[in-house]
Amino acid sequence: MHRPESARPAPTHPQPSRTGQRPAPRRRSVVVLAAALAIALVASSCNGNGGQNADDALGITADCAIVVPMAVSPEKIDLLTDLAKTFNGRDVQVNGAKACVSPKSKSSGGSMQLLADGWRDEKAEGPQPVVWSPAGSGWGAVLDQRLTDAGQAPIAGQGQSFMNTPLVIAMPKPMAEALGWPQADLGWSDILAAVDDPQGWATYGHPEWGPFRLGKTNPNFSTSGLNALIAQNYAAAGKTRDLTLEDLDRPEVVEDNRTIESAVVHYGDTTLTFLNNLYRADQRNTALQYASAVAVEEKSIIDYNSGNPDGVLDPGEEPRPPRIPLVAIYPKEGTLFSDNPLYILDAPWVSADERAAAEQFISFVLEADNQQRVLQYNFRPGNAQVAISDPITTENYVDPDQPQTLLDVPAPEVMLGLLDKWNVQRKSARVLLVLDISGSMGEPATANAPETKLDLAQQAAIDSLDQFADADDVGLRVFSNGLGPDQTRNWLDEVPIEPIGTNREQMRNAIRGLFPTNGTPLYDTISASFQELVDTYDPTRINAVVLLTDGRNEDGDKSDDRAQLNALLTQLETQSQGESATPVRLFTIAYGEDADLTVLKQLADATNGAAYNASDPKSIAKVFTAVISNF
Amino acid sequence: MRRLAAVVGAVAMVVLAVAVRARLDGEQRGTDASPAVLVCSSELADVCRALDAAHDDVTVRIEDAAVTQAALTAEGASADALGIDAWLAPAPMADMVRTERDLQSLEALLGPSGPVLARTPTVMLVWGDRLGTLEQHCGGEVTWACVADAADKPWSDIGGEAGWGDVKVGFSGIGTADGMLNVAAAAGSLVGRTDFASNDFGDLGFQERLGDLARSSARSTPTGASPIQELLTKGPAAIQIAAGLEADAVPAVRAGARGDRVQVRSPDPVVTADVVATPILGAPGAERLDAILSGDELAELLASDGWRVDGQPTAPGIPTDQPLPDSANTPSGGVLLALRRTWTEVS
Repeated sequence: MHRPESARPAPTHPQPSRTGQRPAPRRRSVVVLAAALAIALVASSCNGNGGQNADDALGITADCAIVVPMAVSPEKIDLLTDLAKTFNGRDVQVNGAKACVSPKSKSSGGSMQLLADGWRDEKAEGPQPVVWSPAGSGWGAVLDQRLTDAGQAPIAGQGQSFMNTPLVIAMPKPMAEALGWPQADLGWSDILAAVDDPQGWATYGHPEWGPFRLGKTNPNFSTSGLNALIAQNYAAAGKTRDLTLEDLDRPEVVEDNRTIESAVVHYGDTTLTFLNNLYRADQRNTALQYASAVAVEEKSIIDYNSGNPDGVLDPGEEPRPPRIPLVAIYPKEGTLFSDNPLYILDAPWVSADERAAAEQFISFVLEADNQQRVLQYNFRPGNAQVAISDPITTENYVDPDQPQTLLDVPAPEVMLGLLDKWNVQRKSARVLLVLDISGSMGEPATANAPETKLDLAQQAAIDSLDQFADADDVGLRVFSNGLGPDQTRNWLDEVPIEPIGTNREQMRNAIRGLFPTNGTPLYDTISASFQELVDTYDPTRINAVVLLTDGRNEDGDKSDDRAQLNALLTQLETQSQGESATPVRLFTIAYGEDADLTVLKQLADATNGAAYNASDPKSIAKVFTAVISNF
Repeated sequence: MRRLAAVVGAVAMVVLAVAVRARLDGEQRGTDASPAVLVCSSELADVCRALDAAHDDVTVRIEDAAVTQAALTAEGASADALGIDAWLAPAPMADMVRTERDLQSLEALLGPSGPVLARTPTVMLVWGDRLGTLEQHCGGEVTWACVADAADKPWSDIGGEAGWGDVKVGFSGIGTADGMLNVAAAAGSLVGRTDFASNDFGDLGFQERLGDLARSSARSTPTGASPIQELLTKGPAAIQIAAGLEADAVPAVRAGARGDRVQVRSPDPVVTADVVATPILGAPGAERLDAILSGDELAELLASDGWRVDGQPTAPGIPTDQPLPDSANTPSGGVLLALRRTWTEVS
């Protein structure tokens, strides 16, 4: 069971923590950091094994006198849990005391920010880590830079890489072949040319594939997204190293970035959303209309081609290879490795015994036998004595002889500049927020809690507004029965879809003013909201409906619910798939225990969107942040 | 005033207690009651771990040579204060310490190094499909001098493919014996002789070419990882030419992920890492360690780890038909200190 780099959209079971914490308003960079923090919390609560049960699962027993807390990126938590169990059973001694390790899942960007802030809230975030393992060592450089900028001593220093996987451009095989693969060397410049071509795939003899559509994750949260951003900027600047802040301002670089971003389907905190959607589209034989290329790590291609797109096999699930496999394009301009460093932090909370125990664990992880396990998880071993072998083979459409050249990781200040520029250059969004104000939203969020579900949802929605860029168009719709002056309407538009730069305060006030009312006309509302976005579709933007509900369809007539749902699914699928698709994405949030996550996932999947699980109402702030990372 | 006196008195008592405890610790170390402490340079990590496991009366500490050197050249350093009895490392590392202590007018701290226990030459690992291009560029045998001319520049400048990116060279950190000796080998190649001196480092051409090697290495191993590991795990994308020691390189290439793609070369001038044990003067456990380090056990461990040891069979893959030069071909400790400074400055 692998896990993604960041929060999986669904199914998830976020746990309560840091309720009410808000990102600082206005400044997007600050918001982004806060958002990264929140994503980390979602990721940790989704994947973490908190409490005594986790200790049992890791083989941490009462005789473990030294327990080394570790924060590791989510895509490798299963591997490290596996390794930790073996290590903890070995009776490794440090100064006469048994040493054990306890890995916990934390997203790379989120944990970096927590460390930069001193990892102050152990109750909410888990113990301060002795060992930190983000996906790539670039995060270590950024952490130390942030600390240095704040007048503090760096704590990451040099890590020990223990496995690798390169960033690649994943393309459906026929599409790659249309661009000349495998004979031609392809790269970001070819992607740029294809994106920039108004004829789209018609130029390559396939008008039926439509325009060139690109899947990229949000670089503030995802290592793949960050590495893809670095790579595309190098390509635009015509460099493979020494990228500078001046380069980022060059008109041709800005233009190329805007062109590439214009082809993005949507963003998000994890590549697995794309891969899951692509897999579902493949099962419907419409994969080629969903995405033409996705920037992912090499290991994800092996997962996908084996029929396990998210790397997680649920109980009873059998991997079934897709009809159309993905092939790995190793960009000719160069790429970057996710090198999975293990940092023993030079932090005040790390004792000498913990450090010694951590060193023992790192040696253990690098042992040849344990590096064979790395291969089982589709990564490349970090120990040179272990051959790169199956599954890193051309049979799986990855190439052990690639990449041929690497890009230099830019200087930390340039990395920060890249993120700032991306916030301006990314594809704008056109989003309708649709909030449930049914009577059940007035119930307490949890037993004996003073806040209602609506209270928490309002706060989360208000906080999430800061994640939008000024140029994004955002509107607010609420739904319940008996709305409007004549009390006959199922929804009301509180704020029309307009640039949020001018209506952010109006949105805040409108959300603050909401109160719970009657039933939950879910299907009617989704149908109407989706259709409105389709009818007013803007091809230059990410068009999406974000819907939060705490209940099931409740329009006064249960007898036709099944028929309504089928009709709605047909409507969503018809508009979202095929050559004439109008790609409006539906992102659903199942809020509270009574929401029907299964149905909401079906509906989101029908549009190649994603469903998010906030069954614990206190997780809603974090979930909202994850949802808005798609824009 | 009375309160101040009390505080001063308390602090003095603590300091005295710490000093007495340190003294007692020093007296106990190396006696029958406590293990002797051996510090090993990181190139000898596996050998020394095996020693540690085999001897209850020995404690091993493994660290980069520069870390040990810094401790041994600190003012006030002594056998007691450092808590070590002997140091196992390539010979010039101890010589660098002696020179540095002389420069600082500090008393001798190291005893005379023992005989050479094992040897291994510096080597160059080249990614297979780049070797032809490199040989063509060098006009035959590949040397560090001609690699320096190409380092940090596009492969296409010397007849390679554009898709290969830049010529990327990797040296271990200059704080390791491996890195220091390979940089010495490269410097010898740039100067054209092994008896070079710090006077040669002022030459702008030398600095420029050494700088190309140093900068390329810094780019190729930004996280400080071993260049051999980087070459074998990440392939030519990360590094195409790695400097190392034969004892590390050959076993890694033989067992390794991409060993069949990598060529091991011994560029002229061949510099060797000659392992010696050096006692710390006044250390109580030095004698006991000497007995262990001069026995067959260490010789066998070194040989099986890839080092060349007189009278011992070589490990698989270690060439038997390439004799080593009589001398290590390393300059004096003072020249190495100057070279280390220069390398750091031009990086």
